[in-house]
Amino acid sequence: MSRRGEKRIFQRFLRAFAVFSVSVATVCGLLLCVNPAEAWSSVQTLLLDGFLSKAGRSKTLLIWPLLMLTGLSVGCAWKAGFLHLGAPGQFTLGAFAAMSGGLLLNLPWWACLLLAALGGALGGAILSLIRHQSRISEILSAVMLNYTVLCLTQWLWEDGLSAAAETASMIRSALPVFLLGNQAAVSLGLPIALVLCLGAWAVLRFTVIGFEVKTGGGNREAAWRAGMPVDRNRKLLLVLSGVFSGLAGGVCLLSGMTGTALSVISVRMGYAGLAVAMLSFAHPMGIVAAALVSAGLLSGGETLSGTIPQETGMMVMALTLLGSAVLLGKNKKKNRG
Amino acid sequence: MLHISKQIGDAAGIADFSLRLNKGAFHGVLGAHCTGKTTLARILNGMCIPDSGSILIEGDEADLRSPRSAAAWGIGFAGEESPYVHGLDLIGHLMLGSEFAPSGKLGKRAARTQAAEFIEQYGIPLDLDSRADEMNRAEWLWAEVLRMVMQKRDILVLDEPDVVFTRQEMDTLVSVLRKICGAGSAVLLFSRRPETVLSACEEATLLCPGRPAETYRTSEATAEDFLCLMRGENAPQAPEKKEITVGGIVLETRRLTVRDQDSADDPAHDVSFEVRSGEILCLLGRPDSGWDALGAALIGAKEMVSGRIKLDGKDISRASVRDRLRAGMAYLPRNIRELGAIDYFTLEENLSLQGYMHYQESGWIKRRQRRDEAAHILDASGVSGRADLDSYADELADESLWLAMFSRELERRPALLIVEEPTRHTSERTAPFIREQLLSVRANHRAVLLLTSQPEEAMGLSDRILVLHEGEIMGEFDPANTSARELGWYMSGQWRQQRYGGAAIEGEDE
Repeated sequence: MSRRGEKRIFQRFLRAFAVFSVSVATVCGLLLCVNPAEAWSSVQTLLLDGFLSKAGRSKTLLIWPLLMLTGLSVGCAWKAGFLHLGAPGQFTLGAFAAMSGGLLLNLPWWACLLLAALGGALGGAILSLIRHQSRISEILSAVMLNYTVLCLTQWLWEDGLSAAAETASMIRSALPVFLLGNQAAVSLGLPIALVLCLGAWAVLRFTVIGFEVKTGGGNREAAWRAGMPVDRNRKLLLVLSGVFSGLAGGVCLLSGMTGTALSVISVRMGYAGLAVAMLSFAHPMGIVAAALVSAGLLSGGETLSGTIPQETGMMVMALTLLGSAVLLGKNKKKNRG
Repeated sequence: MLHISKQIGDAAGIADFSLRLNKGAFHGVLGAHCTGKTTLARILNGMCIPDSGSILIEGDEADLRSPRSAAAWGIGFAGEESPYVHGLDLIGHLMLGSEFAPSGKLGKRAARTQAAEFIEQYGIPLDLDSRADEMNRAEWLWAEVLRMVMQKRDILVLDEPDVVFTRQEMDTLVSVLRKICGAGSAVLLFSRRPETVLSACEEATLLCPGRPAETYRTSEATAEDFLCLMRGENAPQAPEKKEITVGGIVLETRRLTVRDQDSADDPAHDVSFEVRSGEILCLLGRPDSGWDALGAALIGAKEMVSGRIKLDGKDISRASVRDRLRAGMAYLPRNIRELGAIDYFTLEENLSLQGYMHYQESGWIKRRQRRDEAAHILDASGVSGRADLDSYADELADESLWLAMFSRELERRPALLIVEEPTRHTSERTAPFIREQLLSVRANHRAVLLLTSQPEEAMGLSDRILVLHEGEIMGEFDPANTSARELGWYMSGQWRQQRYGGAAIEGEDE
C-alpha cells in the first residue's frame, strides 16, 4: 500500500465519519424538537445501547452479519457499476427459501442456507436478465420487483405456510450458536459473513477476475476496449450480489430473529445495506466496520421506548445514505479544468 | 471601448491573464494544448467562474455566472461541440437564447426572414432548410455564428473553429467575421494554429505556460516566430522520416460498414483499405467523419454490419476484442480518459489494463511482476518526472496520462498500432517525441494506422493519406504531393458536391 493510497483511504474514512456524524446530529435536532425531555437519553440509547447493554450486544451481533452480507451484496454490484436496490427483495427470497426448506422439507441448516443463496441468486438472475435484454435501468426494475416479491411471499406465507410453522419445530434447521463467555450468543452467521467479506477483499485485490471487475465498474468502455469480458462479469456479479442478499435472508431467519415481520426486516436490512456500502465505498473491509456501527445503531434503535419511535435508528441510516450519495455525486461532478 | 482583464488562480492553468479588446477588433488567442484557451473561452461564456480577476465591458464590471448572463452582457460563444437539442429544428436552434419575444409568441417566421437576411448580408454558407439531426459539425458551427449575429452579440468568442473547419471553410469564416467586425462587433478567436491566427486576426495574444501572455501585431510576426515561442527554447527538432521498404499487408478491410445505435446514418460505409508493415497509413477526416467509429470497429468495440477485417491474413471480423489484441492490434482512442483508463485506478493498475493476463498464476495476479512491468513502461513513456506508479489517473494531466497509455500500447510491440489524433493532448514540446515514437514503430517494420483531423499531422507523418468524409473514402493522396488546402477540399466534401451537385463553390485558389 502506497502512501497516497493510505491517504485516499483516510480521506474516505474521514468523509464517512463526517456524513455519519451529521446524520446523527440531524436526528438529535429532530428529537429535540419532538420531545426535548427524552431527547438526550434517547440519543444515548441509540448510540451506545447496542454495544454496552447485554441484550443490546446480542442484538447487535445478530444484525451485524446481516448488514455485512447485504452491504457486500450492494458493494459487489457497485464494483460492477450497478446501483443495487434489489437487496430487500433478494433478502426476502432468501428468507423464504430457507423457511420453506426448514418447514416443509425439514432440511438441516446448511441445506437451508444453500436454498437461501439459490433464492437470492434467482432474484439476481432475473435482474440481470431484464437489464441485459432491455437496457432498462436496474434501479427501476429492482424497486418494482422488491414490491412484487414482498407481496408474493407474504401471500404465500399466510396462505400456505403459517399453519405449518406453528406445528413444525425449527430446531433442526436453526444455525449452530456459540456462546461468547456468558456475555452474548453468536450464531454461525457471523463467521460466515466475516469469511465472505475477507474473501471478497482478497478476490478484488489479488485476482485477475477481481481486477477485471473493478475495471469494468470503473469504466465499462475502457475495460471493453482492453479486451475484458465485461458483460459476463456484470451478469456474474449481479447474480453474486443476489447470493449475498439471499444468504443474509437465510441467516436472519435461521438465527431466529423473530418478533418483527419479515417484510419490515428485509426492507430495513436491504436499504441499511445500501448505506453500509456507500459509507465504506464498497471496500469489503470497510463494509465489516460500517456494518458493525450500523448494527449497533439499529439495535439501539430497537430498544428505544416511549414517545421516541423505534425507527429513529433507520432514520439515521437513511440520512447517512443520502449524505454519502450527495458527496459521491458531488465528487463525480468535480471539474478537471 | 471594451476592457477585459482577469486574474485566474493557478488551478486552471491560467495565471494573471489580461487582454484588451477594442470595438470592431478581430483578436486571436494562440496557445498549445493545456495552456488554458478553452478555460478562458468558457469563462467568457460564463460556464466557468474565475478564481480571481474581473472582466470589464464598456467600463462596467461584468458578472458572468452562466451563459445566460454572458448573453445579457452581449457575449456569444461558439465551440467545437454541436449544440443539438433533440427534436428542435434549425430555426428553433437559431432562436435559442432569444426565444422570449415581448409578445410571448415564438416568432418563427420572423426569425427565418431575419436569418435569411443575415446569411445574404454576411455570406454565411448555411442552408436554412437543412434538417437539424442530419447536420454535420461544420454546419453547426455556421449555425452558431449565425445565431450570435442574429442576437446581436457585441463580442463573439470562437473556440478552435479550425479543428472543425477545413482551410477553405476557415477562409470563408474569416471573411464573414471581418464583415461582422466591420459592423461593430468584436471577435475573439481561440486557436492552436499560428497560421489561422496570422491569416485572420489583426492582433494576437500568445499563451505560453510559465510566461505572461503577450500581445503581438500579426503584421509584424510570422508563423515560425509563434511556433518557436510556443515550443519554448531548445525545442527538439521534428524527427526525420527515413525511407522504409514497405512489407506485406498487415491489416486489410473489405467493404466495412459500421453501425451506430444512436444515429440513423452509418458512421462508416463500405470502407476498404489495407495497411502494410513499415508504413503509416492515415485516415484523415473531420472529427465527425467516422474515423473514430472505424477505429472502434477495427478493435471490435463497435458493431460492424458487414464487411471483413483481416489481420496478418487471418479473418478477425468476428473475433472478440481480446483475441484481436492478442493477434497484435493496439488501439489508442482520442479521449483516453474516457475510453482507455480508469479514473480512480493508480497508474500501476492503468498500465496493466491489457497486460495483467501475462502475469497471473491460476487467476492470481503476480503483483511484484506487475509493478516491475509498470515501472518499465513508465520509464519508457518519459513522464516519470511528472507521475509515479501510485499516482491516480484523475490526478494526472491529460498529456501525462496520454503519454503513459501511449507507452503502454507501444510496449506491447503491436503488429498494428491504431492511434487517434496523437498530438491532440500534447504541448508543442512533447509532440515531436510522439512523432518520433510513431516513426520508430514504422522503422521496426510494423504498421501504424493514424486517424486524425489535422492535415498537417497527416502530411508530416504518414506514407499514404485516405480522406474520409461522412463515412466514405474520398480518395488516396501522397503526402509529398498534396497540400493542406487540397486535403481540406476533400475533407469537407465540397469536391463531391461540385462533382455531383454542380453547386458553385468559392475558394479554389490552389
